Amino acid sequence: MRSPILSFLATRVPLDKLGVRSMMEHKSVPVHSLSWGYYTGGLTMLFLVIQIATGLLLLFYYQPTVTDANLSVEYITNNVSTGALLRNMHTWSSSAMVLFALIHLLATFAMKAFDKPRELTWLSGVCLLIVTFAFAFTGYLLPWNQLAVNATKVVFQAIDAVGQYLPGSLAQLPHFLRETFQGEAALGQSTLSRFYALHVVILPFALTAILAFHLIAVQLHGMSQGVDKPSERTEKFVPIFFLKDLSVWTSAFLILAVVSLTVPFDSFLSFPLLRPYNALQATPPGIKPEWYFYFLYYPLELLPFWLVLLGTFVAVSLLVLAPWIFRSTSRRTLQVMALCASAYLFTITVFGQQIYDLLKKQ
Amino acid sequence: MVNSTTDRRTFIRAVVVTLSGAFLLVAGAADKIFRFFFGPRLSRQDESKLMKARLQRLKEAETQRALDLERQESDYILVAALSQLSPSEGKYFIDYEMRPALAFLGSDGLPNLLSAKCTHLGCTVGNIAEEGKILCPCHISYFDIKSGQPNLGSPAKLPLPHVAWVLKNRSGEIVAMRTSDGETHGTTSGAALNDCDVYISKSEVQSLS
Repeated sequence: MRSPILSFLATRVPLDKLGVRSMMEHKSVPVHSLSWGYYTGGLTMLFLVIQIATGLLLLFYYQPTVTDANLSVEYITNNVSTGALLRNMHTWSSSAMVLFALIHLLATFAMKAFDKPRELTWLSGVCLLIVTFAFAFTGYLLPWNQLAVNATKVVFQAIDAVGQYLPGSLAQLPHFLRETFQGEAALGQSTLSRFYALHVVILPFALTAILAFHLIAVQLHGMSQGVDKPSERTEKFVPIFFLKDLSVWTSAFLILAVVSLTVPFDSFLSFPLLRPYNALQATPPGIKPEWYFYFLYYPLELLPFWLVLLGTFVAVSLLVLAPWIFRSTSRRTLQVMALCASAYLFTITVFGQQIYDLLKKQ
Repeated sequence: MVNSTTDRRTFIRAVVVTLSGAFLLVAGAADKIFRFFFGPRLSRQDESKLMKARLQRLKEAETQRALDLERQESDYILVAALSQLSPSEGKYFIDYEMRPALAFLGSDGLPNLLSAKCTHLGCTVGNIAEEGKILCPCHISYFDIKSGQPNLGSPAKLPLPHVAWVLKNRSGEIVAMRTSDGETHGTTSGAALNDCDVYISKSEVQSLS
């Protein structure tokens, strides 16, 4: 007799169904009002591929030392053929990847795609989102300018501050983590080397492994039905949906190329933020994380730290335990929840500064 | 009825146009890829400019490393000559924990040293004191340089800690000192202070030498 763990895994990872031919022949995509959600995972992956390609090319010229990092980034931008375009594409594409990863998460949540037997697919997706944020955070430091180093300092300080809310010896854990990632007394070469290793070796390995599991799980279970009443209309994944996917990817790539050619990503930042980091200078005004961290940044600015910490803990727990907490929740309720989360993310990202100014004046 | 001749012609035209487009695209991309890997060939002027910038960054790194080493090996670190300190413009220095700090001249004519690491989220505060207050521009906290206290309603809740100092004369004798709890000992006024330098010490000095 099988142990409960083995039968749980056998249902979630039915390896006996693993056959490329059968998957190509049988995989189909339901057609309904939320069908657009099926494109979001593919789009996230497209931007990941662009990140890998542009990142590999940037590696040819980037030098991960505190003396040369900023200079090598300037060299790439000003002297290397297509260097500015590559940097632009890498940065814009990272934003697009995070955006579509978030949309993918919200869409799959609204479609209850985490329902049995897809719990592990969902969990691996949540892990992928965390890894994506880790990529964004570690990549932010690499240009070694005022913005990069000071923003990293702020995050480290916030990590340190978590310790005061933890019991007993656990209180030392955030401090220990911060020191491990920082590597020396102040942000310096050890920190840059660690972030570089994480960004170009460790996180890519982690992402590849989790993504492989995620994709295999998607292939094994097929597309989730997405709506309460199973759709009667379906279309074959190969070739119909795949061709549609290709046309969406082509359009997305063209939009990214045009944006990267015409809008330098740093044109929204004031010059002092982009100057090489100097430890003996005041932090220039305007230090902010990338837009995709605003959902955490503005609450940190406006609310007590413990409240934001508690909110983050609850949100992450809900995401991780969603397959079990929302097992019997209707798709209608899940859609309302996803809409509320989207409204929050949109409002705080687009109007965060205005809300901050308004509340701080009172 | 389908005209097979027109149809063939349209097909051939489409193939030729597509292949031409693809050829131009591949040629353009190949040119860019080749130039990318071949690397830029800079003019002598640009090359010199780049080398000077590299040298400058290396010197800055050397200074940073020297600071690291000094903090490992020296019991005292020179901050500045007392005569160089100003009541309104702080001099940045790095403390023993490699954190930024500021040295002002206090209203009593003695050094006033305090941490420049904002107690809110760790940004480096500005060094220009307006009406006795310095600004952390990250999230707008004003700190009183005398007490270190942040203004009411600022994101920072804790004061900037003061840093202990010692004053040494040219012969290396300790003339005056201030401990981290704010107590001052030794000669605190007069001509004896004129030639003094301000230091921070690795372990707190308990008594005057």
